[in-house]
Amino acid sequence: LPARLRSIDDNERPGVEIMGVKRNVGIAAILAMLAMPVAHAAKPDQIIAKRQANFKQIGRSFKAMRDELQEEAPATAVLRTNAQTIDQAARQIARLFPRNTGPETGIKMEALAAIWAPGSTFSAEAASFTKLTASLRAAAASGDMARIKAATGALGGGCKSCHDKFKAD
Amino acid sequence: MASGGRAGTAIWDWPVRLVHWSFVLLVPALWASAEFGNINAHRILGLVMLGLVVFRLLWGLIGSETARFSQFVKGPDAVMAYLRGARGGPNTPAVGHNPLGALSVLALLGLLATQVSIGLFTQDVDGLESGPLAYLVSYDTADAARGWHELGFNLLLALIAIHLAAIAYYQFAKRENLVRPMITGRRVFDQSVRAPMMAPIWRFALCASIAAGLAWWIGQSAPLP
Repeated sequence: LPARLRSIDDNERPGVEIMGVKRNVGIAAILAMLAMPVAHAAKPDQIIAKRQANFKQIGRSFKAMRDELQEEAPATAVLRTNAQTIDQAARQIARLFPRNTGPETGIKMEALAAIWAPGSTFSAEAASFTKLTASLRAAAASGDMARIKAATGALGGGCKSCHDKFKAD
Repeated sequence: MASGGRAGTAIWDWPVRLVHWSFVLLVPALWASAEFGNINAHRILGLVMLGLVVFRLLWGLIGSETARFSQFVKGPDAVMAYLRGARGGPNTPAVGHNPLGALSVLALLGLLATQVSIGLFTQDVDGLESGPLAYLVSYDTADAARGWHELGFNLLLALIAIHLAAIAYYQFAKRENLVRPMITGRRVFDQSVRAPMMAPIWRFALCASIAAGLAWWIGQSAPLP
C-alpha cells in the first residue's frame, strides 16, 4: 500500500472498528456520509423516469379536468379526483430534481441545466406551483364551477411560467 | 379549339388560384404564429387552412377540368412517358398539371390535409392550449401529436422546396413560366389546344359552403346535436 493510504490504517490513532478493522474516525465519517445517499436514493435514471412519469400524471389529470369542464354538466367527482392527483404529484416535484439528474447524465430530457444553476428560481417556481394546485384542489372540493375554471386557468399559467424558464421547447 | 391567341388559354380558374396563393400566405403565417406562441392566431389560421384544403379536395372532384383529380392524376406509365419526353426536348405542354406535377399536387395537398388534421388533436406543452378536437383523444396521443405536427411541417418544407425547384427548372432550363399562369390563369400555347372546361359558380358556392361549414363546426369542437 502507498504510504498515503497506509497512514489511514494506522491503529495507533483513535478510530472505530469497521469490518473487523479499526479505522480512522474521519474516514468512518466520510464513508458514512457517502453510504447514506447511496443507500436511500435511487439511481439518476430511476429518479428521472419517476419525475417524467410524475409530470405526465399531472398532464393527464389536467387534461381530464379541462375536457370535463368542456362538458355541459361537468362531473364534480372527476374534477375532484383529478385535482387531488395533481396536487399530490405537484408536491413531489421539488424532491425529484436532485443534483446529477440533469442533462449531463446524457439521458433524453427537456429539463434545462438552468434548474440546477446557482441562483436558480426553480424551487420558488415549484413552491408557487403547489400553492396553485392546492387552491385548485380546494376549488374542486367546493364544486363551484366558476372557481374551478379560474383555478384551472391559473394552474395552466403556473405550468407555463416554469416551462418558459426551465423546459426545452 | 382555339389557342386563345396572345391572351392565352384560360387554364386555371380563379378558385384554384385563390386557394393556391392562400396556401402561400398561410403556411408562413401558420409557422410564425406557432413559433412566436400566438396560439389563438394559429388556431384560427389552421381552421382557415382546413376550410381551404377541404374546398380544394371537393373542387378536385366536381370543380373545373384542370382542378379535377380524375383529369390530372395519371398512372406511372404516363409519368415515365412524360419524363422521357422532358429529357428528349420540347414535348406537348400539358393543359393543366403534367403527369409528374400531378404527383407533386397530390403530395402537397395530402400532406397539408394530414398536417391540418393532426393539428386538430395537438396540445401545447403546457396543456393550456389545444386543437379543437384534442378532447377526443388521450393526453398521451395529444402530446405525441405535437411531435407529429412538427415532423409534418418539416416534410412540408421539403415538398415546398421540391415544388420551387421544379418551377425554377421549368423557368430556366425549359423556358416555361409556370408562375404567371397561376397568377393570371392564362397560358399561351404554341399549338392549338382545347380549352379546359370551367365549372359554374354554383359549384363553387356548394363546395365553399360545405368547406366553410365543416371548418366552423370543427372549430366549435364538432358538437353533436
